Amino acid sequence: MSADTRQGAMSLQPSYYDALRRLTLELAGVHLGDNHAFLVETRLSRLARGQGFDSLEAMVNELFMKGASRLALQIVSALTERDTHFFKDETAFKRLREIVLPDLHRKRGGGRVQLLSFGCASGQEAYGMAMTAYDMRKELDELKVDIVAVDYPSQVLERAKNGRYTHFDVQRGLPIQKLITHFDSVDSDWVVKDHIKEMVEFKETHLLSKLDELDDFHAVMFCGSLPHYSAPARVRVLRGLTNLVKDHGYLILGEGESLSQMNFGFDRVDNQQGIYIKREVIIEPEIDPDLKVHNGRTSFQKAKVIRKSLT
Amino acid sequence: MIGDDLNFAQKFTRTAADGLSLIAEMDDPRATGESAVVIDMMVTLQRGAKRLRARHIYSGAQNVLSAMHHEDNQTLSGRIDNLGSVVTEYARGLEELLQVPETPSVATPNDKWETARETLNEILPKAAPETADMLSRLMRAPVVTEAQVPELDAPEIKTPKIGVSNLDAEILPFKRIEKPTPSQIALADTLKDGFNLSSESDAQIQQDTAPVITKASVIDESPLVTLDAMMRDVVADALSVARSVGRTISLSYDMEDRSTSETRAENLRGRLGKALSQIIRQSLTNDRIGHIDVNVAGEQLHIMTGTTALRVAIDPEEAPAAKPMITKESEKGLRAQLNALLDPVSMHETAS
Amino acid sequence: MKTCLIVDDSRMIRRVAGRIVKDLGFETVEAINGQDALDKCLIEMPHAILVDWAMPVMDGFDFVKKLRASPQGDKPIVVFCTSVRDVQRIVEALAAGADEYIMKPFDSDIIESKFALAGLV
Repeated sequence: MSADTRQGAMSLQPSYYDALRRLTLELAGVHLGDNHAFLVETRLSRLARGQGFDSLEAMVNELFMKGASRLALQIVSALTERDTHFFKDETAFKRLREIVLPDLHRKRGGGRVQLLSFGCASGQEAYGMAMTAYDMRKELDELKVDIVAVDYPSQVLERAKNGRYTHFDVQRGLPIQKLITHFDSVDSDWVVKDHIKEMVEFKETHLLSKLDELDDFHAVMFCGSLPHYSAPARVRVLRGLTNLVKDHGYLILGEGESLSQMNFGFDRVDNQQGIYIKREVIIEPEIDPDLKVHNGRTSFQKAKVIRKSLT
Repeated sequence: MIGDDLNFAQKFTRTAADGLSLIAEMDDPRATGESAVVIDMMVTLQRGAKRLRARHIYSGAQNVLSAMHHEDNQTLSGRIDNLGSVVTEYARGLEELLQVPETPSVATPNDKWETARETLNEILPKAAPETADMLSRLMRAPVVTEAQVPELDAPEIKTPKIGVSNLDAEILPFKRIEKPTPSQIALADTLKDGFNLSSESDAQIQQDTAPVITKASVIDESPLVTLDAMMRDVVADALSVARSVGRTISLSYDMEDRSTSETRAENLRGRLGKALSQIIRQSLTNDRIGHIDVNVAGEQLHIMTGTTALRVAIDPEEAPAAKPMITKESEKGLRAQLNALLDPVSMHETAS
Repeated sequence: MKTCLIVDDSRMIRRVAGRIVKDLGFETVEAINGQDALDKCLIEMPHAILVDWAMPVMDGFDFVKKLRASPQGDKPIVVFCTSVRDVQRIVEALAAGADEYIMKPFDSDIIESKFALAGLV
């Protein structure tokens, strides 16, 4: 083990580590590896210190004995946090730019469209969507784009709301032209400019179970997370997302990701894997058997005489 | 997710090691033109360390930055070295993490015998005569299985030299770990002083005949340090030397969990460092050097290289203090294995 | 194999950047200032150039302008790699002919990302 784990990082007993793995699987549907205990320890040590716990065990005890649900979400969020950067999934953004936004503009003309960044982490995907839409504003003439970005509650989500990124963050994936157009240099950091920030709203939510609290959207971007989910969680999250996409709306997955055998009412766009359009669902009205419906006759002609025997 | 971090961690440690070795070579990190570069490197390290939650690398870089502005050259140099050691240690931890653990298999009677033999094999050479006698009696049970025949005549098998009574039953042959082939080398006079040089042909494997060094009567009251801890600094220094002369080397060591006093460790570190530096700089070229191994052999430290098999024996002035052979931790496992050996049922199963 | 010219008066920057760029599959050539870089481009035009701004003899800004004005000078992808962070200077650098811009300090991720944005990897 490294010096960092030997000297000062809190440590977890194997039983706690197994329990955290189960929790992460249940809450977020994500598998942690067998041999990632040391990385788990360093991630949670930071959270434990930030929450004011004396030790990692104390925080995990609080979690399992008191069932602190918000703490559970924060722990799971810390464990499932992944590295991301601006425009990480080039294919997804290309589809947004070349297929989704032009099609929405074509169909709707003006008005507002709502896009969702699902599992937004530190906000780079959501701000990337906003920058894309803003840079296309002439082409999307009259079309107003609003973006909602959702994820589990976490310190990372709080930072995303501020729109403040380090010198290193803004140099990964972000072309220099976009940096100087959409960010202000503040001390040694860079802050998203207002014209982008006001397009994006960040919300905390439980990604597997609280989606009915959200509106529905013209397009949902869900990139880079699907492969990390367990099979049942994958079904659960996609089923939830299906309800969030409007009819004829879009679901954009990450490079190499697909709905595979499950389509939940989506069709592939141009036979491409990773971008789907939701079929319109036609619901037949239920017929009440007790409801009397006029049969259209206006006279007793041709009426059948039914003789009933009462005996 | 966590895999991304591991990937980044590998690149980070590589770049960090490169940068730090270059800084270590600078005559004056505070010189105009150099200081900005050093500061930038520390900021980069901090950023990577923050992402990886590597607190000691983060604070190590902070200490260097602080020393750049507020401390003297010696302090700055020491902090740069410390940071290098921490990064090396982190890289080592990462390597361990990335190794795929072997799938444990169900132990067969053969496996149990092998495990017992290997355990005793490690202990017997270090055993005092009376202890070795007792341990060797435990091996008296016939252990020839259907699948295994003792290869007493095989030239590569070496019988450990212990004080065994002729009345004892046959000692089972234990497998010997192959050592790289040594070859002749002439070293500078500074190295010969106090060192035990052995000149050997390329084809031969020399038996370990290093003399036992008697313990000095001077009592060293400085605290004990493990030789592993000392070797971390030695490795970092050697890698730095190799980089400075454009050589690519790999190093390994086995200190057998031994410890020594801090004073002696400092002395050993210096002498080892000189020996390694000389080997890397003068005695070997890129097409000859490959791997350098430093290990404890009896009461000496041996340096061996994989391709040229140079061997330089360093006799410390006093023998390092050896840890007890059987500790509380190892006793339990050892008893279980000894019980297995004495188990009449398993003996019956494996008897020929 | 593609070549990358690394132009910086700091030996350490040339070494560290060189190592990162080699890992990306480039052969590297080093130059210690803008004039040295121009001379090397006359011998063989590289595929990519990583250039500092502040250097003695000829700085990076002048080098890029002269490079773009020279025959075949429009071919290499030019990436500034400098401590200068002023937005106005960045705009000037892009106007002079730079394709991308890296602000120091950098790490391997940044160089790799910028090279990818520039279509080099």
